[in-house]
Amino acid sequence: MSAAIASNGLMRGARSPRQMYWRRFRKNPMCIVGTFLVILLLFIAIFGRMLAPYDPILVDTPARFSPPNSTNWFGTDEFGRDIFSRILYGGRLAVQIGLVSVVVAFLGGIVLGLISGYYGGFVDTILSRILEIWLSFPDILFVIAVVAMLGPSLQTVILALGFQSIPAYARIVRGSVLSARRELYVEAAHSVGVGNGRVMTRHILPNVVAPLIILSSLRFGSALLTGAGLSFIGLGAQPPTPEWGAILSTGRMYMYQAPWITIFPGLAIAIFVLGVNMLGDGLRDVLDPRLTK
Amino acid sequence: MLAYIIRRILQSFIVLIGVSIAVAAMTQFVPGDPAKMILGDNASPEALEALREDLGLNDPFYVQYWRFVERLVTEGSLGKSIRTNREVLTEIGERFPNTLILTLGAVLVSSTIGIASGVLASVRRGKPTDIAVLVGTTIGLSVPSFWVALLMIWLFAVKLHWLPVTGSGSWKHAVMPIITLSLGAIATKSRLTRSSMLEVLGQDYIRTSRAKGLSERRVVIRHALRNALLPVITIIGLQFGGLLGGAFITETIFSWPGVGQLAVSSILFRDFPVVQGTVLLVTVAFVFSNLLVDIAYAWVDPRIRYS
Repeated sequence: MSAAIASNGLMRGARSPRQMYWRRFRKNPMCIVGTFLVILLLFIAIFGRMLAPYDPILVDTPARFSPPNSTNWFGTDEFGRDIFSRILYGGRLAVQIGLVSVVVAFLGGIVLGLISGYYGGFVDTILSRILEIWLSFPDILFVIAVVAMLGPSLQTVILALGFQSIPAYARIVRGSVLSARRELYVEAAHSVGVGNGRVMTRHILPNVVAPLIILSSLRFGSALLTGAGLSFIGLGAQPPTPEWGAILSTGRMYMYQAPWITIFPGLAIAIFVLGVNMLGDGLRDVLDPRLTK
Repeated sequence: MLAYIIRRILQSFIVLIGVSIAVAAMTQFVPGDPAKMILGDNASPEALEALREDLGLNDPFYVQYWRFVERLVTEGSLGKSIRTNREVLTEIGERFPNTLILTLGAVLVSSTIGIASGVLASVRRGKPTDIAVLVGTTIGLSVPSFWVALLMIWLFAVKLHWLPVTGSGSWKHAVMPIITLSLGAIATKSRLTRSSMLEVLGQDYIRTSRAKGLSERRVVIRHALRNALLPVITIIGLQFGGLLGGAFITETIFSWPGVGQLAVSSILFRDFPVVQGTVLLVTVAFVFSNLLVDIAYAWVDPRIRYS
């Protein structure tokens, strides 16, 4: 009995962090449901174009405003275009909005945060003030200002969403670097002649990856929502692009006669943002249990 | 306390100078000729040159910025709208109260529902009520508010005829826009209140209050909630800016004559001075609301002002 407990204890003690995270991940229902929905979104993004039964921008006037039926599962719009096909095509755009904006913010935030935290002093003061001014623009306003400068388009919105998030990433990286650069292992690395760049990327950066992953999963969802919202008011994707927010935007004019044009793309956005948010919440619980209340 | 307030005001002032430089620099980042962007490709060379002169685009940036600040401080002017030829500040001033109605309404609604549901979830931790609040807030953060707005229009305006579809003028016009704007904020406040309450409910003084024989209601509301609300106050200030921004989409859906609708239509009409004015004023309002929240926070929690 005691031997069994001891061996059990030993096994627990021997568990690597990766195994521990994986165990927590599997036991977290938010992670499981979130991962399923995110994989579904990625599947639609990759294979949606092959699975779509119709061309998403092909006009078919006789079929306009068909309610959901066996040939057009989600019905058709004011030009007779198949809503199901448009949503499948739009999946790739949804992933692009989330992924590209997060990557831009991730890379920009890491570079600024590392420089600011590692060099400190004058560089840190200047960068911190710039980040403070950057953060003082309410989220969507920053994107709107960029769209006003560069003109309405989905690419502009995606880039602006990425740039808008840079300060949030930079602050996390800066804070972690500030506390890490006084650690013994960083001093040890310096003492054996490791250069600044290598210390930052190989020794300090791995320690800030967990909070950045959590932030990224939550930002992915909010970028998807804001991107769709801006397309909805005409500042993002332009017709006839099958972006979900843009489909909703044209559907609102026909709410009374063809509510399906509005219902299905809205559901698509809601389900996938829900998936991304659940995965984000679950990852936070798995990677940083201190934050879980 | 006074030293803290002065320090925060100075910090906000520096931020505002940075914001004004960023807003004035917006024209510098327009690809190609901003005058052509505003007037379109078919504009005559004379009209383009006149607009360039009017906007000061022929001068170096520091001269443009100085003129921008000088005009704002001495004349209280942010230039004229290209679309209506009226003062930008007048245009925004007429609409700002409408945006404020929506924003303050959303702050009120989201704080009431968010805090109440957060408290309820925390005192019933792990029970069906808690799970229902968790599911509700997760959905609230995921569902696009503009989609909910459309569904509300379809149900309450088109089908049931309870509320007007769009426009303004009566309290009925404000109901759906305020609900739309509140959705995400309710979820955020509810989650924050729940986690903050759980932290406070585990502390010794709460145990002491219970040991003294106080009723659970009194322990929760008089002792726990008071302290748990501190972080919620901060989020109210931060959300104020988010709500001002969120009003851009909501106002456009409901044709609510606010600053957001003005900005969106100005972007589509390339009315650049109005866009600049809106960005500047909404950001100033945001910075100012954060300043007020920080001061309020320091007033109720002395640890802040000494840190």
